[in-house]
Amino acid sequence: MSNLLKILQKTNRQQSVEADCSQNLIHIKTKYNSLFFIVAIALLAPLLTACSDTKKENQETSQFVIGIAAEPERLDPLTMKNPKTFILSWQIYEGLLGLDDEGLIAPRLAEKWETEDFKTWTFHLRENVYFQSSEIFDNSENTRKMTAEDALSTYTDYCSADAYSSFLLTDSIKGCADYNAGKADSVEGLQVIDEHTFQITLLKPEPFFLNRLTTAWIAIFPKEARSAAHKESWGLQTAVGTGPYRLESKTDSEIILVRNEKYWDKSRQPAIGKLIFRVIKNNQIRLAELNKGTIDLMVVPNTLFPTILNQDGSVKEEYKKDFQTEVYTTYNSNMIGFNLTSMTDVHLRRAMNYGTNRELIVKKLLFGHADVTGGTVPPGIRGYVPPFKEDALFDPVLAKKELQNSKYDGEEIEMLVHEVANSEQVGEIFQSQMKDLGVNIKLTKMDYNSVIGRMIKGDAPMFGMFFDYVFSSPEPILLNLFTSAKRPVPNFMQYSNVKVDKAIEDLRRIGDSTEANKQCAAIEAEIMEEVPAIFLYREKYLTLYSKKFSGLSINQHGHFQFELVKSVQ
Amino acid sequence: MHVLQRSIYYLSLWLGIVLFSFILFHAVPTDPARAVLGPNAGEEQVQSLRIRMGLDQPLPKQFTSYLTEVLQFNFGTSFVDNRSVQVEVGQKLKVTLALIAISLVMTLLYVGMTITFEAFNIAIIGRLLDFIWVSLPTMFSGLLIALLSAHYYPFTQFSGSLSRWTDLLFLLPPAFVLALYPMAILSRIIRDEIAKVRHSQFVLAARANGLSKRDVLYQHILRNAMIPMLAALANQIPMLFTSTFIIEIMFSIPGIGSLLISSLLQRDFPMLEGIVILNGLVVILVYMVFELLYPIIDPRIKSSNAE
Repeated sequence: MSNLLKILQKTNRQQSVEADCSQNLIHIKTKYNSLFFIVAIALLAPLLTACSDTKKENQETSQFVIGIAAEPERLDPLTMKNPKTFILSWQIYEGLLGLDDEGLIAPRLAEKWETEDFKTWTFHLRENVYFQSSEIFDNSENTRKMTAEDALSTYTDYCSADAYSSFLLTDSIKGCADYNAGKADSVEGLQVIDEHTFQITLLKPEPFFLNRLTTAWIAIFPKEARSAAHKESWGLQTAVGTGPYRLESKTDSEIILVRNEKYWDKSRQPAIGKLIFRVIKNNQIRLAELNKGTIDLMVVPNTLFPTILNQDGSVKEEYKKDFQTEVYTTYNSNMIGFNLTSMTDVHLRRAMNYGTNRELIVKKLLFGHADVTGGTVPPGIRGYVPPFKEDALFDPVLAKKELQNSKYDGEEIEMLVHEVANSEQVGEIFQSQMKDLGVNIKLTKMDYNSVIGRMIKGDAPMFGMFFDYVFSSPEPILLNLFTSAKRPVPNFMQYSNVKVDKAIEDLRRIGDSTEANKQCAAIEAEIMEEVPAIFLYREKYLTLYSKKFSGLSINQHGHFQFELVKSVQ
Repeated sequence: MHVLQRSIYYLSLWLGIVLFSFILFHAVPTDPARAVLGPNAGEEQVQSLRIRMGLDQPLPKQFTSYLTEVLQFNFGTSFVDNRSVQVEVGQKLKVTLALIAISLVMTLLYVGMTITFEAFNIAIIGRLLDFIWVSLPTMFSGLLIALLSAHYYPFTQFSGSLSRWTDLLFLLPPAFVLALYPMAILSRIIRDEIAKVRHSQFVLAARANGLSKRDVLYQHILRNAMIPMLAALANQIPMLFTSTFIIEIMFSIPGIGSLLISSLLQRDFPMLEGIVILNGLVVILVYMVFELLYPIIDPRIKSSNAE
């Protein structure tokens, strides 16, 4: 006690205490009177606490903290490869086109577009779009208007061999493949018409071409980014696009984005001033931080489902009470593929397909947070209706019959599994289901990249795989996965059928999307007669977020539209 | 002469690490060009990248050019996203070294505490604590402390680059987990050494001269007991590097362990080689420092080296 008094007296002699409450400054000066000092502190304490609480509260609602499970990649649209980075990159970058909440094409940087023959596409870019302010621009305002030249330089870069996403464009845009192979200095099919008009010419007509451009992978960035002066820092300390938020800082632990005050879409001007992405790798700890209130949002990983969900898949009361939930789904597909050059017995493949109880896998593994699927094209993509009946997918009687018709003699079939997207767990459940059927599956666990390598070499009879499609219509999915020309990548199954090749090629002549969807369904039914893969489910994702905020919307490309989030207060 | 001999030994050790890491990572069957471009890229594009990466060259030629670059301290750029390997490894190493340094300080404080227990004849407390620390597997203690910290510890935010003073506070819980095993081992060694030296003739002589028990402990016994402890401490350093790999993942610390694991999964050979070689260099330097410390503490070692 006497020590405390000594400290107080000493502090008292230092004479001043400053309390900062927003703009109001309160100065207190006392001399030699420790009693007065103690009384003053006692009186001011609630005020100071209130000030600090208000300040903290303001800060809490003017920023939104997102807990993420891994360090994001370099934010260079050319090298980004993990769709999980999109939660961040969508905030900074935008493409010519995007998707609306129904999954249909929506104008973004391109205000409108036109085509007469589905081969030449003309995009009219918005005139009021500025890049986020950055030192990469050599002018006093640190920004400039986006023009068609930026679209040209960006699309040229996407055609280059350095671009991870070049596969989206090389077989579509005229001259893109030559540029990719280093046989040309420019891309023949890309042209600037005027300052705000950009034209793309394709190799062949493609009514579904726009559905290649809706992903975060094809975003527009300024040509200054590729200059020698900024090449080193691009994507690390610097990332400049036209999106609602701009990068303030990035480390492997924390990425801070702040509102882009010059965002072109005034109707979507962000209400939250700052987005903070915090890397918390351990799922339990991320959940603990959410409970503590130090983060505002997390996507719930499957390993936490037993903690958060009831057996029927609904969110437990304790979490419902404290958090809002948002379930969203992307265009994804989880499957078990066959290498058709080694797994040649169609009856055996059919037996395995009919003998797979998808419902059980989804229930056991994902607490029902997935839709079972019979084919690869995600239901609902541009209004697509698959040709499969969910309840007819699992048929043990038919499975036994097909197995009897097969030449299977009980040998072990190797299936590769990996660490991504529950592959190992799916493999284990599948293995036990096949055992009940009478088929021996041997699981080999490898890392994801090794599995890809063996799939491409063709020495994996069966493999677990997961696709997160960046296309937003069925045609490019079928074109990439099932045409003979796409063997061995990305047609990993080595599927080849002349009739299907022709039918997919014919899709280029169908402009009406309803009709195209019908044709795609017929093609998918035809493909699945031969069972090149067992398609299992389309995963749904669960997001928990703080009740202090509202308005979160996530589209089918996994675009978290944080600019729509508002503080409830 | 002795210093020269040791320097040559350590240099050859480091060159061995360079060779070993090169062979190790190039023996992995996966194609890094495919890992970079992903499953959708055409074979032609992958082959073109393979050539640009120099992976089409024979292995001895790849090693010679790599060694030339490494000797100029140029470790190249990441296969995955072109980051400079030196810069990246340097930044991450800084964080890992900070973590290890804090845990070493904790270890030494604990050893000091053990010595105090010895001085006050309450060694049983130290023995009990050692038993607890050594029985806790890192996975368990790490997860437990990480969860407790997430709930109750106020400093759970890390800037990623030690740029804020709170970053050091953030590192305290993981450093404690990292220190648990060395704490138990080193305190046990120092306790055993003290017990051994305590029965020496010179200790008896000192006591006969009228020095108190504590004076004998601090002035005579400790100095003699220090050498085995220093040797054990030097041996703990590589183990600390290995343990940080698990702890960094648990506590989301962007150190060298996190970088190693992500680079391994992405087949980022230049980054992996850079991590192993620079990590090896740090460990070698630590060993060298300890070798220099021995003769300072015990001059008999200096004279035997000279002989």
